[in-house]
Amino acid sequence: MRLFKNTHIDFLGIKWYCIGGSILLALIGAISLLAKGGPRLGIDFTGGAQLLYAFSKAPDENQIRKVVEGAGVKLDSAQRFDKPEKNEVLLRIPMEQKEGRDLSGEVTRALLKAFGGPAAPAGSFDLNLNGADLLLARLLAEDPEKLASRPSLDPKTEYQRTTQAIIRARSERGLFRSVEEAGQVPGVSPAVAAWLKEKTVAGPFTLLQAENVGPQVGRDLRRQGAWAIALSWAAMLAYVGLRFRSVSFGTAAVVALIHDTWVTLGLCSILSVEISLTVVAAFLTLIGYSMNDTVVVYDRIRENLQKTRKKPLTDVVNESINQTLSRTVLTSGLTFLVVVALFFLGGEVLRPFSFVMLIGIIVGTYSSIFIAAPLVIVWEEWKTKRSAKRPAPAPEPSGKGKAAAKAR
Amino acid sequence: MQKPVGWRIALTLVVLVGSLAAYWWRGHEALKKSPLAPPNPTVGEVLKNGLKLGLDLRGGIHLVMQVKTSDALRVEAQDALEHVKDEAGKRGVTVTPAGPADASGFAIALDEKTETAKLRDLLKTALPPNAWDVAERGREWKVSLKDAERMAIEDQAVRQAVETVRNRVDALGVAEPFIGRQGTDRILIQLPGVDDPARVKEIIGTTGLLELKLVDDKGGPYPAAEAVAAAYGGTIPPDLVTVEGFSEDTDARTRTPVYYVLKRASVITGRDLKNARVGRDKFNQPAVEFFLNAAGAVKFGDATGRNVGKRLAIVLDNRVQSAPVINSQIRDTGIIEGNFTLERAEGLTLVLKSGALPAEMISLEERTVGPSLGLDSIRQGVLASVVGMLLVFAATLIYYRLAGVNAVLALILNAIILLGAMAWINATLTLPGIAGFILTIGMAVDSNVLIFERIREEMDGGKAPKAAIDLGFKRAFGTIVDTHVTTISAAAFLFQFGTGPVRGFAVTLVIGLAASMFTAVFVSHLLFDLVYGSKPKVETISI
Repeated sequence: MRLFKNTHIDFLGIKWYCIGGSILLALIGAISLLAKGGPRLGIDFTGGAQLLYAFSKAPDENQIRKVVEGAGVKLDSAQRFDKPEKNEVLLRIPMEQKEGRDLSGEVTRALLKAFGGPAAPAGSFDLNLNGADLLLARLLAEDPEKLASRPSLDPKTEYQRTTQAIIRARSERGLFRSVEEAGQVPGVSPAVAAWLKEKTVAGPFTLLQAENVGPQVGRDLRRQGAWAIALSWAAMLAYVGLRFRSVSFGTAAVVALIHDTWVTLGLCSILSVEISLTVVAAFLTLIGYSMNDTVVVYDRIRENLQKTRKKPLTDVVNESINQTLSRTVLTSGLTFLVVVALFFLGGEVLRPFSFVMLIGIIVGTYSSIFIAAPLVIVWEEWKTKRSAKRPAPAPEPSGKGKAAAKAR
Repeated sequence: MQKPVGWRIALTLVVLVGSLAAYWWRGHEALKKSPLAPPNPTVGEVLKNGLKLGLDLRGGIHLVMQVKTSDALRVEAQDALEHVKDEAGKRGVTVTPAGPADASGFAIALDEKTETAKLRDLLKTALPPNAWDVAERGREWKVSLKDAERMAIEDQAVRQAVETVRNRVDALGVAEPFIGRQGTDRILIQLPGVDDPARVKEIIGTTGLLELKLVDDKGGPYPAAEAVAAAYGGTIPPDLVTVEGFSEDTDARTRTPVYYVLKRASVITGRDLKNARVGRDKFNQPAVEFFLNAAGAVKFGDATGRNVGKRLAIVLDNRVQSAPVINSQIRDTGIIEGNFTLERAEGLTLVLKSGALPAEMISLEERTVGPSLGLDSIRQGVLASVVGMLLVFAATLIYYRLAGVNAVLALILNAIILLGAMAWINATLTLPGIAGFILTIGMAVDSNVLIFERIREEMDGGKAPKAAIDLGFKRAFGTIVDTHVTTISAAAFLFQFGTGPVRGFAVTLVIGLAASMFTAVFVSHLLFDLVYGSKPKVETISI
């Protein structure tokens, strides 16, 4: 099967439409960014907190909001998260000016007080919040199986096994809806089940994830993220510049990269995608990926220039894009397939990452064909014109010839 | 032309078997370390344990704490001031502090009667000269720490904090913790597999500074800070200090803050402790009993013996827990009552045993992942990877037919090498790392595509199939190197920038891409040679 065979599409003929279209896209992105006051940064960069809870019964966001705010914690939002049947609620808390407030602790305590009910007096063991080592300590202290009187068994090993079984079952189920459920876990003896029923409670929720980023760390990450992106641009400029011994190739490649980053960022802004650490990781991957495509086209241009020195540069570039077209489209298509799988099946946490990759692959592939290669031509033509306008005391070699000589 | 294939097959097999063995070995190692592993693990169990999972997949806590080194500096200044006052008393020089010591040092107020020469001499001899600067400014002499000394104290405080945190984490029994210094005053704490983050956080973050101080005769407790000032006629003498506490009430919810006035100097501190354990108070509530070492017992016995009938405040982290009356001389034991739950009492016991932090720590960053979220992420990540791989395989087979089989075999080997290499270097698999894994598959196929497209082009150009294969590999090679360099250098920035999960992504990407250089170029070429190499003439190839 072949997608493209001996195509002769005049990509450079439409270069101004493409460049114009890209400028338009970049402008739309810029307007969106301006209107929204910059990209929508996540708590990794702004500071603030996000707490994700899973409840055993369908939670009421409004009541949760009241409880949390009643405990003196400001809330940006309290929203359901992921599939509705998972009963998950995401709380977003704005940044505290003062570092070090234990927000997850405060909110958890407040929620426990409000939803725990009379069945959960302070200090009782909560199967959904407390962990294995405490459970083990309690079992050892109270010894419901009366193992101490049976010298053949080591109580610590026996109870450790029980504890692990219970905690593992909790991890697999998300949380226990009742104490009886914990008692029915395989590996839990009737004596321990009875003890669980008497001495522990299955709390109304569990904390799935807590992120609390203070102002200092937010500032640091913001700076590091911006530097990482800028430095990777610089590294690509240096690599392409050295590898192809040409300023025009290097500059055009990096302009295309900045274009990719900018257009993707603009689309993120329009669609209100939150920029988190993993999203920045997606941007950096994208920079490498888009560069990858561009380099394949450039390599072919260089090779063709060596073969046919007579042809005008425009023809050579056009020919090179056509020759690499099926590879470019196929590779992008395959990577795209993978990212589609990731987007739909990879879960809520990775979704922003895969979303940026999805957009980025399209934008990056487009720019490698329609922006990066044509920009080389634009640059060379501009240089030719400039040298032609000058009184020119000594005649310079033509832009095309120069590029050919340089690109070797 | 017959090309040698023997050593190439051997190398490929060595890499394949080596990767599988590395993964298998790591799986066994990991199982050996886990205390509850079955004696004869099944194949599935070994395979599950081949990769070390990151915090985001296993659950756990990531904390960045800042050590408030100013606390340590203030203590140092306070000690120095006390020492100067002691020395002054011995030599008959009057020294009046201009205020309490702070992180920068302390100041001495002078009046007409002060003999400046004697004071100068006192400061010179009582304080180590290369640690302190004395600025003589009229009526107030400022004594401050030299920069080098200040930095040394700060450094010491952070190092000691790291050590204390490590002790506490060890006492909690967390497997594979990472505790390290970050920058000048930060500590990075990563504890995978913790299933009760709130408790662990509390134990790590508690300063645990225990001080036993005598309550002043008019020491209260007072219901408000204003009442304290009123009782002492406006200002409190410099050797006393106001400390907040709670009214002694059995019900925690009705306890209100009260204020005690205590002697500034401690009778004993946590440094004099030998041991601590959970006990019971007079209401049969959990409490913490502590035992003093020999030096502490002498000090304590002396102080309690002289002050029978007075009250002794038990101050923990600058808060009065209780202030019982000293009924008789006590030597080496005491009890901290504070209406604790059993958990809190156990935690405090652990904290006291591991020693106090040299300074307060505040949390700059906290990332907690519960174990159930991690399991969910693994399930979804594995599903996405498998589906993503199958999609790529299917597309490659449809597009390249027999040559597609070659590419698919190369990709499978690529995945095996990636897993084996990660197991071998004990790299951490994170959730973005899983994304990196499947992205690698998508990107690794690129090298195959580059080569196959080139082979097609060469055949279009009139080359014989076998020559086209060799030329295709040869001519695509330069481009493949270029594409790998760009992607890998972008990943290097990613590694530099990222925290744990993102680093995991960068590592996966780099290893996967490096492996694809081997599989797509070397192994694919070998496979072509195996199929077509022995035939004298090949008319067409399926590509």
